[in-house]
Amino acid sequence: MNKKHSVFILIAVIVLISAVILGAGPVRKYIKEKDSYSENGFYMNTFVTADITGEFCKETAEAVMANIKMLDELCFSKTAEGSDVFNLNSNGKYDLSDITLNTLVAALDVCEKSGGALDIGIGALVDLWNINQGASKPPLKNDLLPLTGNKYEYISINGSEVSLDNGALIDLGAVGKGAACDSVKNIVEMSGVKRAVVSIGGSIFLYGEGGFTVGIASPEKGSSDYIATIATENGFISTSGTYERFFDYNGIRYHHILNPKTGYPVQNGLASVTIVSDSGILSDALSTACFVMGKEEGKKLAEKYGCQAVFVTDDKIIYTTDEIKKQLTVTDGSYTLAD
Amino acid sequence: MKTRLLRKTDLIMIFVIIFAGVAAILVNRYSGDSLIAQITVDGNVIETIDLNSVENTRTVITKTSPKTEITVEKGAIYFCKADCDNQLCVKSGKLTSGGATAVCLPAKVVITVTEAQSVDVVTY
Repeated sequence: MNKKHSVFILIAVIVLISAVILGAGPVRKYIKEKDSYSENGFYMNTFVTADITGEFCKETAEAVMANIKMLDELCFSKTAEGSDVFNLNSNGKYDLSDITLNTLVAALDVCEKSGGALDIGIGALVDLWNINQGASKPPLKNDLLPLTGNKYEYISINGSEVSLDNGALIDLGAVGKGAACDSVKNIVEMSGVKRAVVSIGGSIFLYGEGGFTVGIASPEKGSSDYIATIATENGFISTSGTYERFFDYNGIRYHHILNPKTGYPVQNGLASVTIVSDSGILSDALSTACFVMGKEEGKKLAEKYGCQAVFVTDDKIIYTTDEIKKQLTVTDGSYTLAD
Repeated sequence: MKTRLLRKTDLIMIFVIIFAGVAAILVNRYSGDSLIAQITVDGNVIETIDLNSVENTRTVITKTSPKTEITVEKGAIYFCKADCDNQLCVKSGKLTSGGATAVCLPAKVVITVTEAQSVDVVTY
């Protein structure tokens, strides 16, 4: 073997070793990216993301987004002209599509079982507060009071025709995102993809093997940080928190979770409630209902529906239903898990 | 003819191989996992940044209504200013770990951060 030959081999070996060490990361990343696709957009007055892995990931993500947009515009939106809810609220009576009707029926069940802690008939009260559209001061008490008190009792269903009475106006803000997650589940299951994580404004649908780690948003920082994680499998997770939508007026924080009985934002020491369920609409509806009821009564309601709940208080203590405790890891040292 | 087991050039080559190997390992170890931030406006990516490799702090201004200003620094990214009333995006604070998201709904500006080891998603 001559000298030139050995130098050539050595250089080849160096190049090979360097390529393996330095190239492994990017190559793996390329393979991974080819098989997964992320899409995001603004629908249902919030931020939506779909992360899909598997064959037809791009097509599935696009179908998921189109489905959410359609549900918003044709069914759940209070403001989109021509949607089921818009037509029902404007006419007082309307023949609803199946999907809107089923959503309404499921939501009304939670309204009843929560004794009105969730009330999908308080559309007028939500409009008066106008927190979603950037209100900066609270409404007058005299204007609020007529709009409170079990408005859901004045929603009547006769076949597919629904009618409203006594000032009830539909607002699906507390259930629509979860109902949309249920609809997304059908698309994802049919598509045959391996894994899907869909978030509609923090209401989440999880699908696929290998389990998931879900962060519970920090009450101080919202979705930009988390205080604990839940290790979970396929299913749905929703959270209602005071930090999501709010304004400050004269030193008082007014957030978007209204007590339907008083007409004012709930002040019960809770910062957020997270519900884990095998139903999207239940996870969404119960996160609001359990928040309004407080941690003792809320825990009972969640268990009645076979769901798991995590309550985070303003003084940084985390309470849970029994089963989920072992799946929960506190990641922010300033929070403690109650016994 | 006398043949030596190792010539001078061979020794140099062995030294170079060992040096290259050690250097590659050190580069991999100390560069840390990448922490990727992405800024999107109404779904369109306007910038993707590896936060761990940021050297000089800078500001990204979005041409949106309302206008938002985003500070990019080593290991963190955040909304520092927004021309709106509620300032929810500014109150989100610094994004420093994977899975984090900050959103300005009125301007449709979103910052997301991802890293190899982190949560799949955050519920809020």
